Amino acid sequence: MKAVILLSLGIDPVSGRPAPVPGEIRAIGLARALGATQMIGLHAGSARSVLAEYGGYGLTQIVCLKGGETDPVQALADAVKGNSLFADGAPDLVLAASRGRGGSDMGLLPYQLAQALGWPIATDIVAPLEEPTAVGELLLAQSRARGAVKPVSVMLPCVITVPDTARCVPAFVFALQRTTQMDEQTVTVHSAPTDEGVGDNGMLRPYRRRPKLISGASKDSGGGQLMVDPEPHEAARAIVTHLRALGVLPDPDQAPEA
Amino acid sequence: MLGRTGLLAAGLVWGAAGALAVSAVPAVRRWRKGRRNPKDMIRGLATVPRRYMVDVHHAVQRRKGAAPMHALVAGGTLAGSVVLAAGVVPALRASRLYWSGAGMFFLAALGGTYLVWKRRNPKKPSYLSGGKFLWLPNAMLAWNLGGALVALVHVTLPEQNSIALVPLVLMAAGGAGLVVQVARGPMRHAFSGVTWLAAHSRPERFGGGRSTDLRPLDLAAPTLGTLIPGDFAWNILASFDACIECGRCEQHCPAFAAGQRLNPKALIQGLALSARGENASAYTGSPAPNAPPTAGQGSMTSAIIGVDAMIHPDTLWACTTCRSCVEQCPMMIEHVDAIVDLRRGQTLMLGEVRPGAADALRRLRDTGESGGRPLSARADGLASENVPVLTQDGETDVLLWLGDGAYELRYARTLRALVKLLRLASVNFAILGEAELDCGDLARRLGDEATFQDLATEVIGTLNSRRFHRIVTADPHALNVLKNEYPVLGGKWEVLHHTTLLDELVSSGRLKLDARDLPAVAYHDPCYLGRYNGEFDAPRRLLAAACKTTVEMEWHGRQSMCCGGGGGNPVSDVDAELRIPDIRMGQASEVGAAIVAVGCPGCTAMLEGVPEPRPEVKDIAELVLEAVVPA
Repeated sequence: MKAVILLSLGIDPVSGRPAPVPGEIRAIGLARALGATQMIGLHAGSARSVLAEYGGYGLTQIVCLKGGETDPVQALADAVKGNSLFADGAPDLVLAASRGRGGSDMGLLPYQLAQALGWPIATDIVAPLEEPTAVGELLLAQSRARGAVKPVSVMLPCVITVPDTARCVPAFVFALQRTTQMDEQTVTVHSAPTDEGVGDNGMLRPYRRRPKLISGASKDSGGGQLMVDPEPHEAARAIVTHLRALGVLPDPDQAPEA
Repeated sequence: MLGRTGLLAAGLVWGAAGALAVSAVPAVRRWRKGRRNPKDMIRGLATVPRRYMVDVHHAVQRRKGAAPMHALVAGGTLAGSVVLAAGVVPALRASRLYWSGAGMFFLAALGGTYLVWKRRNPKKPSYLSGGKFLWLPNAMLAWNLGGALVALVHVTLPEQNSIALVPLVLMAAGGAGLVVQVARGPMRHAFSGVTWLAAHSRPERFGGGRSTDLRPLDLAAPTLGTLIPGDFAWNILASFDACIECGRCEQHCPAFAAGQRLNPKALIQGLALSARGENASAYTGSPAPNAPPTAGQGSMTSAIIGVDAMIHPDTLWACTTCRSCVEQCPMMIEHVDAIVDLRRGQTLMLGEVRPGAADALRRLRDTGESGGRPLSARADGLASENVPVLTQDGETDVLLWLGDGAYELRYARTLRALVKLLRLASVNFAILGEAELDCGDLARRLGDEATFQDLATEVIGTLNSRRFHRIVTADPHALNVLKNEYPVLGGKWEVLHHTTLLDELVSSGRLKLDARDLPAVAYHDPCYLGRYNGEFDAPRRLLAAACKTTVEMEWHGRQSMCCGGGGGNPVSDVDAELRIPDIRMGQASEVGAAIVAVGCPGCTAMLEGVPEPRPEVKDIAELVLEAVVPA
């Protein structure tokens, strides 16, 4: 399996010094845990010395797309689709940190890249689960709030994001960092026209107070019901029952009028 | 007929000497497989008698009875044998005086042989090894008794000296035994020891000198640190063979005492066995306590560290780098250098460090601070003192290096006491503020030389851009790095420990103390101030001036015991049976100390972490401040 790890220019939030991004370090570990045999680090921008530190974590080949910083999504998508990264074909996996740690990082990038590539995305993946059942399918553990882990499956090729909480931190080996090969390629990006309203300027709307729909819900009213692979209508019924119990939906006898 | 057995005896000695010379060949061949490290052996060998009679003797005589034993057995055997060897000159063999002389030497050697036997009888102490050592006295007895009897026959019955054939046979058997002991047994220590003393890696240590700085590593070298025995320099391989398993390192090792998985003697023997390609079962001393079993196999070209190799990785990380073993070792073996070399191999080449240490090293690389804490928060504990920060435009007399202990509230109390004292003595001082990074001590002791050199380069750059006369720090670890390890990297300043400066201020009258009537105070020497930097007196002078009653723990000064906080131990998740600081505080209580005076943030934290009841822990600066008389 061939994996591309997206690298950003991280800034340590405490010291303000350049430092590798925790999620990206863990992405290297996850790629290895998923059985990646070849790995390349990909950075949209000029080569910087801080990137070499990823080499110590096992990412000894790093490609920097000089000029790609003007439109990172397009530059990265071109590089991934361009088949120029690996000698023997296109990558199967693109891994990125769930959150960046730099001034110009944006949490949307993995999603936008997945969209540009037309690949599925699995977010907040902390570990592989057992061997995939179907060929080209990955079974993964997704981290959820309060330490919960949800099994998710995704078809290859795909984009995977890795949170800071994943435990797959590879060992740092200085001898590997010394051998890190950093290639800088100059790219010119032909940006596709951005959609209206979600461009750099975004869309400004006055603040509107949302009604508190789940006023009846308190933190003690949780619990709920675990349903594994339910029939869609059963699941829907359970959701409606739960919402009625919370008072978000009106009672069934009043339903027709509502 | 006359003198035939005499000539035979001389021939026997020459034969044994020849066999010993031949037995040295494999050892030399083995050492030559180590890293090249040219040494001037002619000059080195010329220094050996002095190094042996002075430096080695000083260490040997610290154990009661050891020096007389060596003088008698080694001196007697050698002198008697040399005299016998001289018997190739016919005129000598005809002289009764000659034979009486030889006999006297062998008699002395017999006395020594008894002492050698007595060491392990009736019961072998745990710190000594068994195995071939157990029949060593027999071989010595046979050789020396044979020699004495041959001499006796030639003195009393020179006409019927063929009777001496009987003791000659005894002597030959003993000689064969001794050759086996030297060629394949622990007595290889004799030849290896001479070689190591001649080609020591820290010759500055001889004649009462000190050399404790870790040597910088060329980070471009193909192998960083040590993975296989062949990565050690040839003279270091000789030093492992020089170990005679006397067990003093073991008796003084704080890690061993606490049941951490390290026994310095077993470690050195493991290294020697690896280099010789022998099995771990050849070692007959105490093992590293609680260390999980390993394959116990090694060779000059296979890994030393690992479950499938000779030494368990836990052993490496259990060391506090306190240098107590080095201080005790009569053969002046450099255990800590070997451990750091091995750690460098594990850390830099394999990334095999304990998880806690890996986190600390990552934080050091990424934030320049081992705890990942904001650099601006280092001086928070001094906020009430309003200490000036030295900028690039400013100038000061004393630059106060705070160290990473400053983040702790407890140690900040010490620093506040020190700052108050400096103010009272009108010392012009400042701190670096946010510009102070970790000095790299932790990274270096954990074997991460790359991170150490990065930090050192940055710190040296910062310090070289500031104007000050000298650096003062209350952290002996920082003192050691700034004073001893930065100069080769381009940072040379006068660096003092705070107790040295306070002592200077008290003796020059700038601070006046009135000794207080406190319960007994015992001073705990920090390893990195005492053994590493030779400062034993200034803290004691200060204490004597500040407190009326002082006591000494049994282990103090050069023999002081570590608090357990050095060498990256606290971040290395070390398994132990006891806690080193508990043992140390026990020693303080034993001598009736109610207060333990310290001079190191590591010692403060470790010793104060001992559950009560225990003596109170106070930094010397705090005790001095309490005793100061306002001018």
